[in-house]
Amino acid sequence: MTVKAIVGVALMLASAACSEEIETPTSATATGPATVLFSGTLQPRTTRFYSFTLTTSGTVSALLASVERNGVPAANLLEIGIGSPAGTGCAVTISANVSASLIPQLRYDAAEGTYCVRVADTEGLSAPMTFTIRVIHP
Amino acid sequence: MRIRIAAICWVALLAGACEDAGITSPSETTIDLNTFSSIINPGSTASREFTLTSGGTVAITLTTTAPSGVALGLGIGIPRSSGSCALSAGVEAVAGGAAQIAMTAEAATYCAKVYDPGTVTAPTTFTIVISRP
Repeated sequence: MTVKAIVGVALMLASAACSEEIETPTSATATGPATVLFSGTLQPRTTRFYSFTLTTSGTVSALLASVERNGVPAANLLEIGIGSPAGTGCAVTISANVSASLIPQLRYDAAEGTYCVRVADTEGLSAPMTFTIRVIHP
Repeated sequence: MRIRIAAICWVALLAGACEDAGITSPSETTIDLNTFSSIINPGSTASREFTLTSGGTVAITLTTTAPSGVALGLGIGIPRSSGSCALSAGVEAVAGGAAQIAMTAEAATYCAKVYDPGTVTAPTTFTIVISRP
């Protein structure tokens, strides 16, 4: 083996050693959970619902983020529920009577599909209230 | 004197031994404080978004108003897509040193809102401090 050949082999080995130390960056393909806000006005003794779709299974959480009248927070209890669209309504699977909060009040393990979140006045509001529901889903 | 010095050295040695034994001081909880100042006109509101990277208690303190003694509405909520702040809770408060409102929240984006609860008759400057985990 000539000197040139020896040098060439040595360079190849050095190059290989270097390439093993270089980490290939991984692309950030993971997607986080989706946050959806549903806002509207709830009339006394009525319900409203909103649909959303899960493309992957996982845990859906929902909270009643706000109940307001003329921009001022109210302590009224409203029923929020998670279920599946049925006809022209929302067939609720789980529900709770809650006041506004910043921590999840409902958690529901769901498969892929279309679901709905419903808000209802079961206590009898004295006047229309604006509300916001936050849903976090996979 | 020699006994006292010896005692001090002994205590120092014990302290060193304790550190070597793996006893550590209690961990400190880091709390971020954000200050927000603006002006409230009669019937108006002002809000500021903030993000929690971990769950915990959010507390808001109305620290100053000018003129002083003006009661302002103070609330915590979730920002709507329109940019307004949907309030989860609110209080009417005058400036002070202690938090006037606090809520437990999970990691997400929230908003603090200052509003005229019907008490503001002239432009009022204010400062709030948002304390978050």
